[in-house]
Amino acid sequence: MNPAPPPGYPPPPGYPPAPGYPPPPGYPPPPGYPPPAGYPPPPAYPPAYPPSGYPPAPPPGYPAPPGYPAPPGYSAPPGYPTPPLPSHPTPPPEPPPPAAPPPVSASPAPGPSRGPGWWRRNWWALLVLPPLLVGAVGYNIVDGYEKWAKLTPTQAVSGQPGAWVDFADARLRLRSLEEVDGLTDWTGRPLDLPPTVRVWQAVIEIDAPSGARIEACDVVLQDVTGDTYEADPDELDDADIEPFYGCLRPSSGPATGPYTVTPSFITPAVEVVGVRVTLGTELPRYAWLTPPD
Amino acid sequence: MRTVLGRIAYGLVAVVVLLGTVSLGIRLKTYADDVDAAQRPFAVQADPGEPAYGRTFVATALEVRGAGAIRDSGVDHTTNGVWLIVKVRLAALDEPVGVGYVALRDAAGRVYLASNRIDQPLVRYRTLQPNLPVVGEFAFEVPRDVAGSPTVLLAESVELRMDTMLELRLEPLSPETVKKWADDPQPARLMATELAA
Repeated sequence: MNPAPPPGYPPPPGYPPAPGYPPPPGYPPPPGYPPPAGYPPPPAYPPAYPPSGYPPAPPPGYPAPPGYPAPPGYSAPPGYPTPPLPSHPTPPPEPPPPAAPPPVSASPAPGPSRGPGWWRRNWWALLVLPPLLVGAVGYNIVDGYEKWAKLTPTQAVSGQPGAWVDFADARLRLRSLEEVDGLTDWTGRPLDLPPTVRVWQAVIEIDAPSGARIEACDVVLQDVTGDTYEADPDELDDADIEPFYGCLRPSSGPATGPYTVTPSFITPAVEVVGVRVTLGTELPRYAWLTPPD
Repeated sequence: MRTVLGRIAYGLVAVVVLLGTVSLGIRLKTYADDVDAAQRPFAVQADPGEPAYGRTFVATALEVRGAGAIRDSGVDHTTNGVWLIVKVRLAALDEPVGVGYVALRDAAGRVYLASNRIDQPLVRYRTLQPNLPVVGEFAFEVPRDVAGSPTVLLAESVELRMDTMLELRLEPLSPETVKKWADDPQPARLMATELAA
């Protein structure tokens, strides 16, 4: 006779019933709970071992060894070896359970010493590498830079806006730098240029003796961004403007004393700041001329 | 003591081997390498209609046409091959520059310089101004089997070493199109180079 169930019985799901109390009707026994006596065994859990398929069935037609099976009650006489059992393969040993992973915070065990690292083993080679690199390619770099520097106008010789500048064997100044509108070709027709193109004319005054080296000069116009524009461009070939032959003394000008040259330029819609006058023999120096304020 | 001496000897041997390797490399480079190949130009490629930016100028292939003859200064220049005429847009980047090397490479890798049989003002003699693009045409005299995907090659100078070379890919040409151009009896004229609007 079971005692009366205590208050709160049956237990909530997941709790086992109190000892001695039968599980309530329909209450499924929790997994692994041993059923009381008289209950049918729970649905058979597959045995953990041996796994399915072990032991394997003997091969069909395998003849039993002589003397087998031994009659009941037979035991081998002393001194006689027990005949071997039928050669069923031995099941493999059960694998050990996986080892629990080490805690994350655990520091690894110190391993065997591997000696000094790559950087320490090769420090001398790393130390030698930069001088070797400089020795191998440094000359070419320096030589190339010197050649570039000698042929590039990088040293400006300048003065006040519109003032004379001593350069090479002459004095130069920029009298004016103005935008020109309404250009025509040699037949008097308007010059066909896109509306975005602007035409500029510079008047450069040069004071040099006849036959001075400065007569072989080059002149470019420079805008505020540093871009430069060639004097007397192809686009103005047909324009009715004063021809420009570098810094050569014009045949129509004075034979001695200062003279002027008038290079023309085209630019996009930019602001211009001055002109550069270069001479091959003077590089990297060049004359930087800005117009008077 | 013995270990220290051994390490010093090892280091000296390594230095000698390193110096020998560098010296050998320099000698090989000097005597066995092709300087033109070692210092070949840096290619900048662009598809039709797309600009290719070089070191000093930018170029765009606009269109290509062909002809069996080109009329220049009143003279018709015929050919056993075909004239390919490529329209391009060119502009300097930050200083005046000319285009000194103009060539066409066909699909087989053969390279043809822009023809000097006719006057081509855009080749060598035209100075480009910064940010003022010009539009003009190049003419190439090539065999009729040029069909495929030719490429126009442009560089600032014929001295191509270590400079940029613009490679403008053209639309593929079919053999039928090339044959039609080559058999066209009407001579073509190069357009006048002009500032782009």
